[in-house]
Amino acid sequence: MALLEPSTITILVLTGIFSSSIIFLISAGLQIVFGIQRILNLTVGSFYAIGAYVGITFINFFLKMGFSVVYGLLFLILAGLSLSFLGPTIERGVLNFVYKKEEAFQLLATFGLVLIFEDMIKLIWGSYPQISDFGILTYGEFRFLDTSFPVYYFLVIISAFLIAFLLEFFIKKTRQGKKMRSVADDIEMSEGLGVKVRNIYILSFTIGTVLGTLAGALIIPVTAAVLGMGIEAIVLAFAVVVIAGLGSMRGALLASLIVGLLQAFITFIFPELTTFVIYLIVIAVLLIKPTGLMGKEI
Amino acid sequence: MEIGKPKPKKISKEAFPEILKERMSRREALSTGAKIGIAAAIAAIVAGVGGYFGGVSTAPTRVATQTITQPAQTITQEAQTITQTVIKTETLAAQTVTQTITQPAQTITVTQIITGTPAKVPVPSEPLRFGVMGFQTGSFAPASIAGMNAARIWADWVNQAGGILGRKVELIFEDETGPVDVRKERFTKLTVEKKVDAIIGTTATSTGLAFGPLAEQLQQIWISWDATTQQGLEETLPNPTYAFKSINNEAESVAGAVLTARFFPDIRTVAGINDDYSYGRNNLEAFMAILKRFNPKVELVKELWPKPEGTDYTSEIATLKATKADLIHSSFWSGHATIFIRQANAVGLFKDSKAALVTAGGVLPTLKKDFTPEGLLIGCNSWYFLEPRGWPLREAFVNEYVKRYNEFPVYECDHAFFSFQAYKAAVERAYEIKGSWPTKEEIAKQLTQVTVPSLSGYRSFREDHVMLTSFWQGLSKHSPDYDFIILDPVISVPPEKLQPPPGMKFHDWVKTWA
Repeated sequence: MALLEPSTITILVLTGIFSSSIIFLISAGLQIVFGIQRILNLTVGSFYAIGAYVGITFINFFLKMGFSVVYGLLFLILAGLSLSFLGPTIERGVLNFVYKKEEAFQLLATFGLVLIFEDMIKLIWGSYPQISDFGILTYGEFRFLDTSFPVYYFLVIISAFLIAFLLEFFIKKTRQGKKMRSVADDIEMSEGLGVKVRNIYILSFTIGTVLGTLAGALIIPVTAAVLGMGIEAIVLAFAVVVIAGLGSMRGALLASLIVGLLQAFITFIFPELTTFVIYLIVIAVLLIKPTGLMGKEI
Repeated sequence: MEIGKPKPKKISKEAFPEILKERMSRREALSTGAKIGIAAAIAAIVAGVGGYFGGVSTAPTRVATQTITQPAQTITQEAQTITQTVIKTETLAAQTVTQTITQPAQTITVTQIITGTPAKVPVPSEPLRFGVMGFQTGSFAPASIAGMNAARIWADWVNQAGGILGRKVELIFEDETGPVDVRKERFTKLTVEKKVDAIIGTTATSTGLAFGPLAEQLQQIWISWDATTQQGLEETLPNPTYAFKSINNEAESVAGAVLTARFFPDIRTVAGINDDYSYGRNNLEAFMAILKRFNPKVELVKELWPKPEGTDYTSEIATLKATKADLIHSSFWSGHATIFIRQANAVGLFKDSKAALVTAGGVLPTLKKDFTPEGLLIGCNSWYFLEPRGWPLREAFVNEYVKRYNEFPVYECDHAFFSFQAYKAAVERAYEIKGSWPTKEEIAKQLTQVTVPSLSGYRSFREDHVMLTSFWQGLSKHSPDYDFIILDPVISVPPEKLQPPPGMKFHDWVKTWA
């Protein structure tokens, strides 16, 4: 059947999983901040955009310095990690003052930051799309069933799954992770037991920040950094969060896979219905299981 | 196929304001010569020699200028009825004499402006204020911001040259981003509160559809860079007074289809990926309609309509790759064009399919060689800044733009520059006729009567207020001189091949194509 030949299925599955990987990193950033701090952090979209812009600046700088292009992925990860300072800065400088305010106020505060970051990007990098000198085919191509994919796609997929595993391990198995879970469950009890909530807030927000900046940095060999990319990303991340259940990390991984694969297949079969189907699932989850597929975790 | 009339003279960018003055004075000189010629022609007609000019002329000086170049035709006329009307208006400093010559087959109207020695009323001293509107954020912003940058350069150059009839110009920028109602509020605010003399800019058709009627209602001159007032392929504002519209949405794909037939004659299947809004849909419809005139067997096998301002096309590209169409058509025109080409190239889409990316040149400097292969059909709208013709104004502008913004300019700069140039020329012409500062309506009337130098050559508005220009498209090529692609060969498609004549429906026009 011409509609779904093996090569077509391969293309759609690989593309879907690649998209899922990026969506997961952004939505995981959203999840961890909401799970611990109970703030819907729109800024995660800006972190994604800044990660992309800084990633381009980073890698172009190192390549101009004469470093081999083979280290490209490493430089991109470094770029994402180098922006971790934004976490404590924003948490202490802005969010610290809105924890006890109404949710709408918190949303407005983070939305204000989104607009500020958008203007900062325009000021620093201008309005034209920014491109990295690091080509996506640097690590070669992988051929399968009469079709080819950049090896870089697989590196991003592996990186995302690795990050998901490390996050799970950190939250479930480490001392800091357990403190985070306790704060998520009961702040007052945790404080009573000696957990420094302020530090946990800084830690969780920084992890959320780095997840966003890493996603942005990792995507840039595949795309261009453009104004508005953060806002575009946050819309899809919210769909993932609703399907997953607010605060659920495993749910985020599962929902990202659902959204990414659905996007790929529906675009091929019924392209007019892609957005409709994704938001139909969002509505169905809200009606049938408002806590999401795997809500109430972390 | 060039419509411009480039002057071979080389000039430096510092000399630009003087160039503008020089060009205007040449026009004035030409106009004066034309007036003398017209007077002689009219005298000959009245004396019974007869006149046959071969067409209907309603425009005053500019069209009359054409008539004096055809003196030989005036002798062949036999029977004719001549009526003469002399219009004298006390408020006008100049007198307008209109002669209507009725013939068996046609009516010729020749209007002569007798300048005399009108007493000019001094121009107001306060600056002229322009509202400038374009996308300032989002992936549509690059093209709009290029237009706004061009507006700044134009304003600086004109102010350095003494302004418009001595009045300095000021620009007030507004964002086009946001819901249409908000954009309309900004238009109204600029008109009512800021009291701007004209609103120039705008990109989206949704903006155009809202601003066209609003401009007429508020009696505010609105000159659009890229926004049309089309609903689908149909014009919704055919006879405006104050609204001046962009070239039709589908023009890029009309040119693209012609050149696809030329460069890729063997294609049989087409897959389209276009923004899910008026511009994108108009483009694919027009592309297929024209392409089928050249190649009736060509078939549209997939239509993808991602939402506007997208920043990721991974899923769509997977679909295009699986579709295995001979040709990919896209009218992406801003940052999303860069993203699409990069993501498509990453998975080898252009190895399997040709591509007609009819507006991707809107961000040409971002189409780097390492991810944009050779042989893609790329459209640059009205202006390809490396076009082969010599044109001093273009060279001066490119130098200035690169110096100020550290990037190469794109086509929106040409639309912006032309819009302001046209306004300036219209004001000057209206003042020349009236002798005092003209009203908005008087300026609007003159906007269709002027032809002005822009970055791409001489440009003008059609009588239905639609911009005229030629379009540049060609095949992508890698040059050692640039890190982005250039076009080689590059072809200019003339204005009459880009959109139907006024009043004609698109598909009726397509039927006239041989």
